[in-house]
Amino acid sequence: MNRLLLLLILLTGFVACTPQRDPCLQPRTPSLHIGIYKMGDTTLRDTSLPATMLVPLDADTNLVLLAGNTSKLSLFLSPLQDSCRYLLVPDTALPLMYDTLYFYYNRQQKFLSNACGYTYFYELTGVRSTYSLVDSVYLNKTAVNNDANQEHLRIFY
Amino acid sequence: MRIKSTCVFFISLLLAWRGFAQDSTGATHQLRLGVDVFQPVIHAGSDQKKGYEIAADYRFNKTIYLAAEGGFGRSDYNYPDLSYTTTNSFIRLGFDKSLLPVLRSKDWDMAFVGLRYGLAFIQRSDASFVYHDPLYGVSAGTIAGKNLMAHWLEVAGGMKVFLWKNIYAGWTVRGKFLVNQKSFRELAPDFIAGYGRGDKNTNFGFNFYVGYGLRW
Repeated sequence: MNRLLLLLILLTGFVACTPQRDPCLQPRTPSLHIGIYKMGDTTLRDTSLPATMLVPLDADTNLVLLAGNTSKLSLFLSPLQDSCRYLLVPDTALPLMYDTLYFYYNRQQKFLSNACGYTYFYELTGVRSTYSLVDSVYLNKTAVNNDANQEHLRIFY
Repeated sequence: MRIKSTCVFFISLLLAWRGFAQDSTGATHQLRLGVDVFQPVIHAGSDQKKGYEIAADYRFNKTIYLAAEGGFGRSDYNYPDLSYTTTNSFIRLGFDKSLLPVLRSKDWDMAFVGLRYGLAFIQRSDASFVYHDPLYGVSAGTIAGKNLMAHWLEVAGGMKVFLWKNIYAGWTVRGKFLVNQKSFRELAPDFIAGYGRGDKNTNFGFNFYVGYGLRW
């Protein structure tokens, strides 16, 4: 009986080692990636904007996305509705010089894992822009998911 | 490492014990029935998972034992961003091949390797999820409950030793390989009794059985 008790005590030791929930090791929020290009060239060449700022117009917060001097931008689409808008300010020194980007898409619930839960992936159906500074926009890839290597939108200046 | 040290311990313990139990009836048939005491203990500290298992084997010939195991369990996956409940029952069928030479006709102890086919019937409740977007706030949704089946194959190994008269104890380690992974792409159950984590294509398991051998 003492031996059986010893067995049970040892088995109980395992309980303390039983792991709880795994950590989530993948992005929960997919990003839409944008490349900035110069118009008028026969070859596709990216161009940097001097001090870029993106302002989400439909967001729940007053956050703005500051990207600095860059030719690549990333932004989040709204999981609460099928469209969202951003102000694109190429130079924060000139905040009144901007364009508005309109994104239209279908939302898809996506199970990532038990550790990460659910998120939303998106299928872009259209993109529109004002043309104060922007020359044109081109929708390059429509699937917005956790693939960070896609360039979904090209904006030409 | 944890399983390895456990195995070494149990091997030593059972070998030390086996001298106490020898059959004196001249029986040639044996049906062994056991209860897994490891699963209730390993899950004793968890409110989320419960699993229970019984096992039986019948000596088919001198080295081959037909094996059947079954049980049930439940899991409450309850976190702020994802919650659901699963209940399931399972059965495993297969055989064990004894590796120890039979020294006497009354020697019923065995070290073995074996193969199993496992089948589980899983009921998953509606799942609630909450998604926190860094810009747009919180959105929530519900995924409808679903009945699922899991099929898997196992490679097993272990020992069964009679401790006193017809009372035996034994352990089994298992490598489990899920066959129908595609069924679990959408909200794989966190825990399937008899198999383990539903979101893993490969699991390892350990059982410690205590039971009784019927002989005639």
